[in-house]
Amino acid sequence: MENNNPWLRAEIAQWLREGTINDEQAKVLYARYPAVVYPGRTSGGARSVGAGGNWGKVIFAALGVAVFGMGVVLLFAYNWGEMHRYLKLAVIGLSILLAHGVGMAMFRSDGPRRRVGESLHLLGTILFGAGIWLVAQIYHFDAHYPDGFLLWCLAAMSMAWALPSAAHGILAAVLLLLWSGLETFEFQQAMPQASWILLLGLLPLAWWQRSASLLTVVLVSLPLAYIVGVWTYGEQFLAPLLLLLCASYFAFARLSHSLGNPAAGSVFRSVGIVLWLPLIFIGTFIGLPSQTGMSAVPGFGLLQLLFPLLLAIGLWLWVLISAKSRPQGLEAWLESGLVLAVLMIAVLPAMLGENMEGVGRLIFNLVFLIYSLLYVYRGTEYGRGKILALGCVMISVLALARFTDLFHSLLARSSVFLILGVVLFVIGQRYAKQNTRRKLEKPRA
Amino acid sequence: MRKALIIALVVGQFGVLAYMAGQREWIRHRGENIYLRTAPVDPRDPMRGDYVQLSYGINNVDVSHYRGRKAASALSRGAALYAVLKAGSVDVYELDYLSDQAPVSGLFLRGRLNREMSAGQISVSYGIEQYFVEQGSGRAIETKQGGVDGVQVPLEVAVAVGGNGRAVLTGYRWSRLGIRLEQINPVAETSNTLTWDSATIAQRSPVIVLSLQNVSDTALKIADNDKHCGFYLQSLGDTGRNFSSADKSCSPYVLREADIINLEPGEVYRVELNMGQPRWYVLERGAIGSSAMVVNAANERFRLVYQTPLLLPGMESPALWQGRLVSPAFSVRGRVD
Repeated sequence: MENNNPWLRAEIAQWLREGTINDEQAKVLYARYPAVVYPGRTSGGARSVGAGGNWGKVIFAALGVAVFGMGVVLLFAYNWGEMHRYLKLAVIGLSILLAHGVGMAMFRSDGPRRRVGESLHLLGTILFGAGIWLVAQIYHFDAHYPDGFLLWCLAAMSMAWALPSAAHGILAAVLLLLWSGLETFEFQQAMPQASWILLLGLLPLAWWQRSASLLTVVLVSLPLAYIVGVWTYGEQFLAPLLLLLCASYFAFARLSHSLGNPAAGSVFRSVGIVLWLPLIFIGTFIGLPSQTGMSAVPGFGLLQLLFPLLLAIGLWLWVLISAKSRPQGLEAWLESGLVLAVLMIAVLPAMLGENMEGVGRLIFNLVFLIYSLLYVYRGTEYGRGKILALGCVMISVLALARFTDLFHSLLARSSVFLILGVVLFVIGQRYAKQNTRRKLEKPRA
Repeated sequence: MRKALIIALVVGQFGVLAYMAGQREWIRHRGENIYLRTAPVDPRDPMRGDYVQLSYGINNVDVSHYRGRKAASALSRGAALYAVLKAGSVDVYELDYLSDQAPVSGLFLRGRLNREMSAGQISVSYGIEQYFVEQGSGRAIETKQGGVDGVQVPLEVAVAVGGNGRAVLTGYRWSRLGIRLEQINPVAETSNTLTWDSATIAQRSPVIVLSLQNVSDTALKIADNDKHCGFYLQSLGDTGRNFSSADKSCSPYVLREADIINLEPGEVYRVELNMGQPRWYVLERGAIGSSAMVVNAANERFRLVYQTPLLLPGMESPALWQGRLVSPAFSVRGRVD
């Protein structure tokens, strides 16, 4: 059964503000639906302590353990000459067993002890990583050191599935990025496998665990791993691939309700927009170059290049065909339409070999402008100050960017600023007016 | 079931470390113990602390020492290579030849090609290029090894070699002989050198002052003659060009009783080598005609190597220091390391 507790408590607050219920009734309802967001275990299998809204705790617990683990690594890095190598090995080996042993005992219980148990398991896995470097230090071997990160990542990922543990999943994602980054930039070896490990090894875990923290890390890591993986095939492929990945995130956000994981929708949408808007803005300067040279990429590399395109097309077809996920209302259609417009008018032609540098710039400018106007509308209409600020910043940034590119006459330049100033003033007036009206309509808001 | 899986994974983590350590312990106890001569520098690894970066003669192998099935130029980065070793002085081993096939017998190290062959040099690493030390003691090793202006004393690293060519560093000792390189009158201007006659070349070429010092507690012997056949030039080839010595009058240099020089502890043997003399003319591989390095190879880096002369069968010279001792690199414009 889905946990609708936070939603229900927010609704109770809204009813109270609107006067639908009084304070006494609200107290009764609050008592009936206490603020429990962590369900422990569900019928779907064991849940990680990172499930649901506990991701802040997971992040801080994981950070604490990671910092402690790094302390241990550096402690051993001192490399005491007086300490016999067998003693060093015994210390690290016993530390690993101790951390996992106590962690296992605590992980079986529920509540805070379970979280401590997970953290101790995480410490054990970090000590395992320290052990890899300690053994290399003791025996002075200078192996291909990214392999150490891969080995460590595989250990963390297997523990992430076995426990299950979102914190281990986050550690695995970070190590995977380190591995592929080092292989690519230090040893000039492209590692497209990293994206597939994220997609097949960690994304399903984040989904299964309903872990917002792990899902966020995976969704941020995936474009980075993709960049690293396809870097050697040509820099011209990066922008369209990232746009396609972001478009897929937006499609997933729409599908998340019908896939039974509505909470994932906001994560997909948030990560998607954080990556999408800067990409669109960069596109306002450079458009999209023709995607030539794809045929020269060897088999697996070609799959790597085409996969985001196939994924985005497939997911958006699914979104539009299914009545449950299809956009409802003008705003939702506008938002989806902007994504589809970028895909259909800019990315797809570029992938088919068209040079979209000129037309692409125009499209990206228009899309960026529409996004900023949409945020201004939302901000003023619903009284959401942060969204309004974002919209205003976007308009200003776009005006400044185009000011240097397009307007050479001082008269034209001054008029840009005059118009922008007037627009911002009008927006401010509308926001203030809407806020006043809302307060009059809902005096307790 | 889940508990068993977790236990299996924890045991797996422990097992991986145990395997890594156990394999090296096995080689330490059962492998053959030899010494390899090195020239160290002193960096730090953030994950593992201070270490001494080691560079061996077998790390950069001239293509003439390669005897593989594949052509050296066809070897790709990361390819497995085998350095077959032969005993040099006492227990210090040197390269016999390099191959892409594991030899069926004899002592060898398994390595990997660092990068595609360049300027006739094959760059190989064997996983024994870092020697980890307690934080701070790397500085002591650096001091003992000597700075760029002082006498440089190479480390002789103790290595246990397993049957499969895998090696484990087990310790180190210091060479008994140190080397110092000074450069007199480095050349500032190298344009129009083609118009120089031999007298101008000899006058304007740099003079290298090379000192060999007995840094041990006991007397030792070295060998050299009037032509300084105890030394030869080695091109680093790092600009993509490969040079060799044009003068062949010292090939081979066979030990004569008169050439033996006795060095008491602390005593120095000092020679001045004018790089403008025909004895030090260089010849570029694939090119015709030799000349002084100031004319032919003004941008190249070279090392001078002291090498013990050949001992004919029946000749014996106790206390004769044997092996090769490599100087810091230099170019005609000044010393560069």
